[in-house]
This record gives sequence, structure tokens and C-alpha cells, in this order.
Amino acid sequence: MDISSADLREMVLKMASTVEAMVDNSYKSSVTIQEVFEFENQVNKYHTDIDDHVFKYIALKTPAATDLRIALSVMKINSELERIADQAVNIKRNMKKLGKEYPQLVTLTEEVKMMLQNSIDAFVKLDSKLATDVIQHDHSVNELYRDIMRDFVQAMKDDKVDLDEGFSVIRVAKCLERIGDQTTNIAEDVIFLESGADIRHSADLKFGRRKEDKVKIKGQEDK
Amino acid sequence: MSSNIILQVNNLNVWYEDFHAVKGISVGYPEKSISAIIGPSGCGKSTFLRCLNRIYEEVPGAKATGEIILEGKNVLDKSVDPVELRKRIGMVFQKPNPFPAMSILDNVTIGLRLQGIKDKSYLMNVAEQCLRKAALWSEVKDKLHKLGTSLSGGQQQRLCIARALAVNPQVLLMDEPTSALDPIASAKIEDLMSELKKEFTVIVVTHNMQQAARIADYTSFFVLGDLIEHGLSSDIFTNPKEQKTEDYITGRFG
Repeated sequence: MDISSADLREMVLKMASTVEAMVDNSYKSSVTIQEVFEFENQVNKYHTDIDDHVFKYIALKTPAATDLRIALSVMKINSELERIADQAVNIKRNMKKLGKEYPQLVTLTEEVKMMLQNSIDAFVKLDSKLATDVIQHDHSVNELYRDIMRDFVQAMKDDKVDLDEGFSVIRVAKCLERIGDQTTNIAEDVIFLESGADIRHSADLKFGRRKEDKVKIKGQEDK
Repeated sequence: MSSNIILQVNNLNVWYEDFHAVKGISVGYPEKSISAIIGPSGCGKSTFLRCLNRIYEEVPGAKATGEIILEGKNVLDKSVDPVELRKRIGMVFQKPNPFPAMSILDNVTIGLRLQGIKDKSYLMNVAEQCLRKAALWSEVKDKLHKLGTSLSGGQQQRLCIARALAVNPQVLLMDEPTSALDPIASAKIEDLMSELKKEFTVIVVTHNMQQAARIADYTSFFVLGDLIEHGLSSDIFTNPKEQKTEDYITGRFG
């Protein structure tokens, strides 16, 4: 069985383009949920195939250095992509319930799609700089999500929006926000792949915590 | 890799005097594949390999029973000429062993010249083809008349492979072909083996399990003359059926 690290990367790229198409379609009213399920079946096939290939690649080729980091990153990115696909299905389910288009959701979708695309580009080009941009961008996606949450909770309180409609909007926004987090994880895997550095959990130190937490981290106190 | 069995071993037993070295082994080797034999020292893997082209006979007191079928004939049959057999089933040894008094060119063509072929341009042609197949041509093409022993260890081993290829065998046996070589020379031989399987069937004994995993389509695991497990390398090294195999490949054996 001949498997190379290049084969593993190629499989992830194919899976990623399917997942990107899924996220794109989950928001389009012209696309049926049945079509999204068909994409999901493809993604699930990639999910198991890639893990199986990585398993055999490690067992048979005993990869070291870059090849080993590729194998581990591919395995982790594989899981993230599969979860993103699940979120796309959730988005589609809730989108069906919405009576109209909401500009805030459109903006959030565009932002998240860009993050996903950039995280995959960073993987293709082994570009840590672009990966860092993705991680930093997660903050504005989180802000957009919180704005939607706040606005729609208020609107529901004020009876300006039907409860079912309001909750569906919030659920869609939550799914998109989760996709943002998952692309951040992919970006962190890219940085590990490129440099061997594990920056997970230190991102807060680098890029700051949420303002409203008002938690000062050692070394970040006001001067 | 095809599923056509080119070499079928049935119930092979080997004795050295009263020592039972190989115990009733049956296994088939598909054409154009690489099969590895792994196992602890003294497990009979080299003896097994040496039966396949009958060079075990050189050991006084050695006796083999059973069948080794190549092209419908049992190669253990007394009617089979061992010299003819060894043209069909070539062999490469652990230590590179070019003929010390011969040039690089003569080392490759000796098999054909012993068959009585004298046409110089034909011999030259075969030598170039075989040296190319052994990935050695570019390194030796300007010094074909130098002694084979003047080459480095890795080059000598590739020269021995070229020599084995010159008589156009169907099967190539390799007995720890890289254990006397450094990692770079070993990697070259491994790459070469993957190339060779496009034309030949390769059976290799190795102490290096990672090597078996990397290059072999099939792997057999031997212990004390018994074949414990034989299967696709991708199964043996990820999910072996036998506990003994699991223990051996994870380093817990014994």
C-alpha cells in the first residue's frame, strides 16, 4: 500500500472543498436540505477514509519530522472539517424555518466563509501568517454573534420578532460562530504543521480575552 | 501487484541433520509484489528463503520435503536442474559479494557469459539495462572496467542486484539486503525494490520491521520454524490477528 504525506494533504483538500460548498449551500434558499445531506455523505466518507489512511501511513511508514506533523495535522483537521459539515446541516435545518433574510446573518456567514477559506489556503500554502489572521479574525466573528444574540433577545422581549423565528436566527448564528471556532482550530493546526509550535490555549494570551470578562492575565495588567 | 500466485509453497519442512528448522509452511507469493519475512533470529526465515532456489542444498545434512511450485513444477524435484532454477529465482545476500577479480561490467554479464553468450554488443546492452534497473548506471557508466570491489558498499549491493537481474529471473530473493548498509544506501535499495516489483516478484528477509512495513505488500512472521501469520502488511502492522505477531511488532516479544 503506497501512501505518501502528499496523498494525505490532497485528500484533506478535496474534503475541504466539499465542506466549503456545504457551508455555502446551507445558507442558500435555492438549495434543498436533501442536497446538503448528499454533501454530508461525501464528507463522512472522506472523514473515515482519511483517518484510515493516516492510521496506515503511521503504521507502515513510521514518518518523522515534517511528515509526522503532516500526519497528525491531517488527522486533526479531518475532525474539524467533519464537525463543520455537521454545523452546516444544522444551519440548513434552521434556515428552513426563517421567514425572511436577515442582513446580520448574511454578514456573519460571509465572515465565517472567509475564515474557512483562509484557514484552508493557509494549509495549502503552509502560511502561518494567514493562519494567524484567521485566529485574530475570530474575535470579530464572536462580536457579530453577540450582537445578533443581544438584538434578537431584545426583539423577542419587545415582541417585535416571533419566538420561533428569533430562536432560529440565534441558532443559525451560534452554528456560524462555532464554525469560526473550528476554523481557528484548523489555523492552529497549520501553525503547528509549519513550525512545530503548539499555540493552542495561548491564543488568549496573544490576542486578549473577551473584554466583558474583565479578567486580567498576568503580564497583561494595565500599566 | 497482481493476485496471480507465481510461487506456491506447500507444507515445506526442512531439517539440518535432526534439527527441524522449518515446520510445515504453506504460503503463496503473488506475481509482481514484495513480500517480507520477519521474525527473531533462528526462526528459520533465511533457511526458508534458501529453499526457494535450493541453495540450502549446499549445507551438508540439509533435507527438505514438501512442494515449492514454480510454473507448475515442484522445484524440489530431483529432475529440476538447480542451475536452471537459480536463473529463474535469483538471490541477493546480506553482504555485497561482487566477484573480486572482475570489473563492474564483467560482474553484471558473468551469468550470460557462463551460458555461452559472447556477442559483446548484446552483453553491453544487457549490462546497461540491468545497471539502469538497479539505479546504478549513472554512477558507474564511466568506469565499467574498474573492479566491482572498488565501489562503495551500497553501490556494490546494487551491482549484485544488477548481476541477479542479468539472467532475467522471475523471482528475486533478498536475504537482509540492507543490514550491512547505512541509512542512505538502505533507502536507495528500498526505492529500487519498489521499482523492481513492477517487473519482478521480490521476497525479502529483513530484521528491520519498519523496512518490511514500508516496502512490502505482504509480510510473514516466523517463530521457531513456524509461520505464525502471513497477510497484507497493511493488516499485519495495524491489526495483526495473532497475539505473538502483536507482541513482536510492538517490541514485547519473548
